[in-house]
Amino acid sequence: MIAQLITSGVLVGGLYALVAVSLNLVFGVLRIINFAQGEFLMLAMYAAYWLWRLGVDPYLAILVVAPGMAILGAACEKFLIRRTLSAPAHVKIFVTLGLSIALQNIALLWFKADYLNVRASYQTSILSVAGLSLSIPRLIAFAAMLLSSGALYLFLQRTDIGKAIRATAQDRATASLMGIDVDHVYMVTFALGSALVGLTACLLMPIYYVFPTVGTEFVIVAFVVVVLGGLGSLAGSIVGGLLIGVVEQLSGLFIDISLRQVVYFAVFILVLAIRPAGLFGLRGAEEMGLK
Amino acid sequence: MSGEFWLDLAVLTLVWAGIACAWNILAGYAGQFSLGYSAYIGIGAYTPALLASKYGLSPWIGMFLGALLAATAAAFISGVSLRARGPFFTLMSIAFAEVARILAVYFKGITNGSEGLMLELRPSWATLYFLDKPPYLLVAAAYAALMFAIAVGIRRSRLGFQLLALREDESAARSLGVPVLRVRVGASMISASGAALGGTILAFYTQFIDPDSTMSFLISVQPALDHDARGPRQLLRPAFRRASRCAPRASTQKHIGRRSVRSSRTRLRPPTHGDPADNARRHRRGMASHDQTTSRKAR
Repeated sequence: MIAQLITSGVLVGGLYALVAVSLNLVFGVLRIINFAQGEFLMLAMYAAYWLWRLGVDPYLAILVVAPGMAILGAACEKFLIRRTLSAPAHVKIFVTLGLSIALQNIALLWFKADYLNVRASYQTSILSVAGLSLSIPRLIAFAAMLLSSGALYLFLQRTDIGKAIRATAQDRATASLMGIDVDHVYMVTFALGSALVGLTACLLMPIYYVFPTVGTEFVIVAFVVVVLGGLGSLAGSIVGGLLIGVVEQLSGLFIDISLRQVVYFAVFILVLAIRPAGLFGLRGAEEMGLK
Repeated sequence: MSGEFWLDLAVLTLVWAGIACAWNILAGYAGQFSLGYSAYIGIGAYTPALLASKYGLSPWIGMFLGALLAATAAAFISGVSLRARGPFFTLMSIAFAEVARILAVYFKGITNGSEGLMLELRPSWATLYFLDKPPYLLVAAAYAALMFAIAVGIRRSRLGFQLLALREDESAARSLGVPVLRVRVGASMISASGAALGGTILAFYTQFIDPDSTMSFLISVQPALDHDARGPRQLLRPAFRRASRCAPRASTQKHIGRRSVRSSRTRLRPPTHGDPADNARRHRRGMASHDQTTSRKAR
């Protein structure tokens, strides 16, 4: 029973990690609390859903949805976020918050509040290993999470633009003095983060429902994961995601499933109060870019 | 446009102006941008409402118990979040408010959960329960005036200067002997109890409370939107803004109901001034020849 719960916790955690990785990228580099990230996820899930209605399998839809989200993200950064980067902190917060509320209400108006899901043959397939049952779509999502994070890691370590992104995350002013086009880096980061959100959405579609406020649920967990794992730490986001997944499943068993969010927030508050850098973040990293 | 509409507009404007003043003590003076005031507003709404409907306790006593409870919560929260900075403080305040909301839904036995609590009392001044709007206008005006007076008083007091010093440069303030813990905790207690009083008035005015409408995240966003996180000299401005934001809401509420007007309530505003951190930076570099206080007075 416990082993099964931990396994499904790890698999759920894989999904959280996926959302957290993209949020960590944007929050870590731009230092913006992007409340709209969840709504991007919601839009991408609707895109995957409508593509499925047209006969495209959600996994194939990745090829369309991820680049589409990258373009949307780049446009959003260029026309909205960039204008607020030098503005006071509350303006930055309100820009993404306003975007999030607007997108949510537009979705409510156009798509209605119904819960929609796709139906596919592999959806309920289960793999049984050593007495544990593993859902196939969740396993696929988990594998995709590991693959895409690995690819992102290599991208950030090996390519020039990846190095520029890391440099900008560490110190925006110095990076621009070294000849890095910071605006361009921001746009690439935002596009990359949004593409990851598109990927996540397609992986989520066979597992979950889509409805106008679906993003809020994931983005809240993702913030907890990012802070727990450490800002700017990819490994931290993955470990944090898995940890929160397991904690969620176990708190359902030991406390009460309706209090699971209280458990997240307790973890979140504890981490911020005791070790603001998170489990894997560098000490002091949380203050970088704020001054 | 009926008189009823203008009354509604005036009451909401005054109450939210008062809450914005209270919020400003922490967010404006101390620079701690909190988006978690729904917790205090909720405590202020639930405490007197529950005491009045279950035990018949007068809300005039209940509202101070609520304010006391909110101050206690604020002391705890600000103690825990003392080290968090910038967006991290904001995220933490959201987390606390969400915990409060979920607990209000969870403890059905006490709060009635998501079903909400309908207030039905004998209309009188003792119960703060009226069937028409004019008395609430009086209460709201008194509340707004009180909050305004407190905000101005604090700004001119020792505490006010200590808060501004902390906002501009914490380590410099500390080295000059500003007791960081006491000042922060004290300011958030005053600020939270002020917001709680506003919550009480909102609860008795709408005569219905539930966790989703009284303690939602969007409630926390309200005072921040109403206010510019500035000094009290501009306190009248948020009140006017409030009016401009309430007007579409009050009229749409009549036609299409409460839920669908959120987007119009959260309108975006362009920045009007540089942020405190920026000013501090300029100050340190010696680019600002006069301090913030005088420049604000001059304005």
